[in-house]
Amino acid sequence: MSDRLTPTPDREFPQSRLKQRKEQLLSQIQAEQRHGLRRPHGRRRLTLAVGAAAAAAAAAVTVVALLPAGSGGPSPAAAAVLNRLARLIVAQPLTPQPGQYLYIESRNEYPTFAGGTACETVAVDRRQIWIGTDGSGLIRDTTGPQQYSSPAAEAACLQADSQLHLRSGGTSNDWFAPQCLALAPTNNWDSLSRDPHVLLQQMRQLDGGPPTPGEDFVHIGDFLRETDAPPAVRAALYRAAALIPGIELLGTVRDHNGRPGLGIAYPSRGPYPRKGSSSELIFDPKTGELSGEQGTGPTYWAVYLSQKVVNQLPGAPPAPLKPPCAKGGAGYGHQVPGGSVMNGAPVTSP
Amino acid sequence: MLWDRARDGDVAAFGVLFERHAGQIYNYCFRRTADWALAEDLTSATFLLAWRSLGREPLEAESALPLLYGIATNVVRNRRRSLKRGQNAFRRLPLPRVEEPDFAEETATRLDDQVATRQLLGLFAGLPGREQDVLALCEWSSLSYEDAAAALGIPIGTVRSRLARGRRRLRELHMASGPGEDSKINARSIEVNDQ
Repeated sequence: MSDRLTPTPDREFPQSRLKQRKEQLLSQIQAEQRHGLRRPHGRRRLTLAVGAAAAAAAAAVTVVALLPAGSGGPSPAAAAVLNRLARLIVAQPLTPQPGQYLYIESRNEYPTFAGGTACETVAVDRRQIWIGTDGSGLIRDTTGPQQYSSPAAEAACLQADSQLHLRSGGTSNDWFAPQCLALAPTNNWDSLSRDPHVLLQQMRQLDGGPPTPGEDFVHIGDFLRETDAPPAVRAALYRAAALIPGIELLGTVRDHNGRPGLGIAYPSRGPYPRKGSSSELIFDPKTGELSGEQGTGPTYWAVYLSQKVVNQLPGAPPAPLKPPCAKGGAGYGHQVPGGSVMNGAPVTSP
Repeated sequence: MLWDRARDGDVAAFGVLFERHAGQIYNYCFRRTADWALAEDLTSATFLLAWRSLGREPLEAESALPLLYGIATNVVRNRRRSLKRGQNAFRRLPLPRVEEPDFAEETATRLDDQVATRQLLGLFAGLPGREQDVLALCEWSSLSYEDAAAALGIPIGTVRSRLARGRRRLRELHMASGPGEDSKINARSIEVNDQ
């Protein structure tokens, strides 16, 4: 009986792959260092308490200093549109009251490259999120079958790993106790400056990645998508995006569902993000809301189908949920080690 | 100390740490996903994020491994976005093909591992996520209570109680599933795998 409860024995990381992975990792780190990125140093702890005017001014200067030479200024047309969208979004009533939830529904497709860089697989994901004002909530993911993105990708996958297992899809429900659901790098919205210059710097500190305009654009998306950032913060994020050199106004574009929206793009000239890659944020011209995303290098898309305030969750968690979850409750990527301890059980779909 | 040197920007020292600990994180990621290829990608993503976090986290040698497991836990959970970000970085640097067919001799064994682990994850899906994390760290990766507590940012007492509850529930689920329920377990495990 115990066999099925015992994990399989440790296997060795295949030696030649380990060597490759190490070289790849160190090359990436060295490239980040060469480009003047912040490197690990000292025992500083990040503080977000940037409120004083002097600190704000210093941070603004720092942002400018970190921009690569010759990157030019922000596009006036794109900046004008973003500033107009900021005025629209600040008036949106998407502010749940205690006991209510912000509900966000999206469909998206992000490629994965398991088994090798040319081995690209895709799966459409329907994602539903309920975010309570107390940081509790639910993430429901309904994933379609994983597929090879092309015949060439299939060949690459099978060459790289003949045992590759394509997943057939399914639904997961992750429940979160109060203070445990945070989808942005921070959900301590009061700690974020409304000054767009300072905000850019704060986002760089929170992410820890390359301090480049392209990464700044990535951060904007990270804070906007699937978060309960209040309208004033969203407006500040739009104004921060308007400062990023290299952004372009695409005019009216169609998202993956064919809906029109105002497109703002960052076509990268490298090195961060990769040269030739492009990211687009698409906004609803009437409400100012983020309505879609798409990009190339690798190709991905997301459409935000519904963003509204609802009065209840679609069910109850399978067991009582209690904090604490983790330090600060941040649940995003690497922000806090072990940051989001999920306080709930994945349950099967109805 | 290697971690001190890495924190001060010594890339070579970080490379040594990668060689030293990648295997542990690789096996941990596999047991959470039942996918060897994915586990390799998640291991790379974990170490890149660890490097970037070195300046922010007060780090001593004894806390390094819990830090890696903590990051890996989040990377596994947020794998879709983590991988996309990781790929944005790593795809700049193509991974060359290796002539040596690493998996050739072990393919059957590793396929068996994936099947067995999917079944185990199927049972695991019946546990609260908090208990899954603690069981995976303490039982599958042999972390001490102290290290698991550090990795997850929770008190040691909480680790103990979650571990006890998780073990009990897992056994109950196993008893309830019965010997003839493997196909059902497989179906559920796919759901877990696809989170």
